Amino acid sequence: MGETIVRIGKALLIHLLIGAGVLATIWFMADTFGDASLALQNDYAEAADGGASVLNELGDARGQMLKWAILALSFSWLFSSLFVALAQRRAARGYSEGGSMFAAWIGLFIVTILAAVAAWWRQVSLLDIGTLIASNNYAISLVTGFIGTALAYYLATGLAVRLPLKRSVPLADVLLPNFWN
Amino acid sequence: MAETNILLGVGGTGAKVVEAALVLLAAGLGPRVVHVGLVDQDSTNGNVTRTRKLLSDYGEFRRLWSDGERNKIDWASEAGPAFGKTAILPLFEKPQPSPLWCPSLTKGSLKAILGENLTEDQRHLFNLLFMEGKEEQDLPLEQGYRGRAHVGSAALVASLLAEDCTLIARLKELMENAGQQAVNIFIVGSAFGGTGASGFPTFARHLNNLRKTLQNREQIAIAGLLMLPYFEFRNPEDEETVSVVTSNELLPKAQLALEYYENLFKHEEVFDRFFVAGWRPTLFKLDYHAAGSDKQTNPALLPELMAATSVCEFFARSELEKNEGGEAGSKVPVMTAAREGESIKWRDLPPGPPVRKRVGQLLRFAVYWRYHAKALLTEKSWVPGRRTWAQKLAGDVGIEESEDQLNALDRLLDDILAWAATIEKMGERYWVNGPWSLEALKAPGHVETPTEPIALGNSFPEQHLLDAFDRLVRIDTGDPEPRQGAAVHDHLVRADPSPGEHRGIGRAIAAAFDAVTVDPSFQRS
Repeated sequence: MGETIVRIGKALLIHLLIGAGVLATIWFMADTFGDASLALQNDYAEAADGGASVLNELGDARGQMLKWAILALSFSWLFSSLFVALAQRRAARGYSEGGSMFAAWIGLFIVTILAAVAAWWRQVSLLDIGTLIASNNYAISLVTGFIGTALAYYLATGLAVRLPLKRSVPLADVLLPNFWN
Repeated sequence: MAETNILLGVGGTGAKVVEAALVLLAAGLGPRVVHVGLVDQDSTNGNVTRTRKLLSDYGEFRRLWSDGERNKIDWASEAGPAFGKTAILPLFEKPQPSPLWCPSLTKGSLKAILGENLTEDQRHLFNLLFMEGKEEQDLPLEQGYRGRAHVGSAALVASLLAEDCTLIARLKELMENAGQQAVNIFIVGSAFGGTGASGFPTFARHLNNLRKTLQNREQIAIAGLLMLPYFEFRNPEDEETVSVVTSNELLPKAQLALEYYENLFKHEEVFDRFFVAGWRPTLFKLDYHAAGSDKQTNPALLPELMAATSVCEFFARSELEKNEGGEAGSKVPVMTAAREGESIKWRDLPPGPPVRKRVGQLLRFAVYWRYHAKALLTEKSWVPGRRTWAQKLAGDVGIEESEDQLNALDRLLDDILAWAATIEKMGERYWVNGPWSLEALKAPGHVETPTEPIALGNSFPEQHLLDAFDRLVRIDTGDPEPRQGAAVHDHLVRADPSPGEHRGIGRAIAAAFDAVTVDPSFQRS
């Protein structure tokens, strides 16, 4: 049990590091007046304090994006921890058995991505956040959020899983070092 | 200079106990160097041949892995693997390495050896002591002494007293070369056969007399192991009956032998240590009879393993006493071991050497390497850069350049596994949840014969093999060893090299041997 908790802690640390990068990217993608969409800028073009209002709206949009990213990364941590904990209980006597949790890894990965999509739909899409941020910046934020979530799941499972089960994480035994396994 | 240890098996049963002792020594239950000799009139005896093969395979394995440029197992280091650490050398180095000494190579009968050029009185005495004709005087000796211990004794004494006796010359050389270091000589033979029954006391007495003539006699310890009847043949059905030992003669012969030894020990302190091993209440039944030659290939039996532990105990005791400043040759009057119930467990083996730990580890290594780990050296993957632990440890050493070395290891492991599987099979009535189980690795379709009751398969599906490995060695409760295949794989995938200056595939072998330990507290380094 103790070892499982340590591994979950490692997964959390990986998520925090990647999360910091994702959140910083999203922040900077919706930070200044120029990051607002043209539609939002036009909405306040006539107003006396239009600039401040745009920044205010943009700040709300950024908050929603950050909430989404935090939710997506939380799901990733949750499901990667679940994988790590399941792998901790699985005996692997050879490489074949070491790869026997590949299906579980794929399943939890899909669940993680679907959860991230659901969170995006609820936190971002329903509120039309995409219309408030410049389209390029929104796309970069979105891609960063999804890629960051997927990457965090991959790295957390690949680096924190027990070494004999590492072959269940695609290419992790080739691409990732073993020092944390 | 290290101490000199000599193990001598006299006759077919002696050779079988030496075979068991070789397995124990291979497992790491012995000193650094042991010289092994076999004394048998019947050079084609199947038991002797099998022991010679094991000795030869072990020697070849050690030779090829000791000092390779690319592949090496470092036994010189204290941290090296216990498996193979003992250099087991055939007694004779020249003209070619061989453990075997045949008392009368050229003369085919007792009459040819002793009965020629006799005076009239001597001839009468000769005729009085030995029956005329094929029963004794003209008994062909090429296939041993056929249970006629007194015939064998006479023939053996004549050979030992010959000036050109290579056996005595070699033993004298080893004893003298030891200087002030201890010399430990262990002789094993049976009380019920022909060659063993005659050769064991005759040879031991001769050796004791030789010891008395040497300056370093205080440093020389002689131990003897006498095997009492523990198996019986089916009685022969033809005219051979007149010149072989039949089952109903075994116990009376053994009783006579023990009375002889009792009398001998009253007058002559031949042995510094004396072991006796037997089996009761029911003897192992070998469902055939062969008078000698290659047909006499008796399967390995459990009592031989039990008896062989005394070899390790004796050599280890000498080391212990040396370390503690004790006197070599001090006597322990009685040591007994007996099984507690109907079934055999590790605890039934005589106390002393850590047999379960070492033999358990050796058998696990043999199965793990032979059937699983070796294949990982050549495993190919569609993923570039993906390598198994065995490939990582072997580094850039390829399997093609290591073929001879790997084949030598395979041959040795096959010998050991066949021996262990035979012990298990022949002792199956006592083997309810016994110390090990190779049942799952039986060759499908093997037809049992009295001399080859079991054969092991060449390969098995991975899942089947790993299940078999987990159940291979048992603790005394009958449960499998707690350190299972998952813990072994967990250790090996880290690909941490074992301590020592191993090279190439030797690193993979040493790591695999370490990993399969039966010690549940074993941790990766």
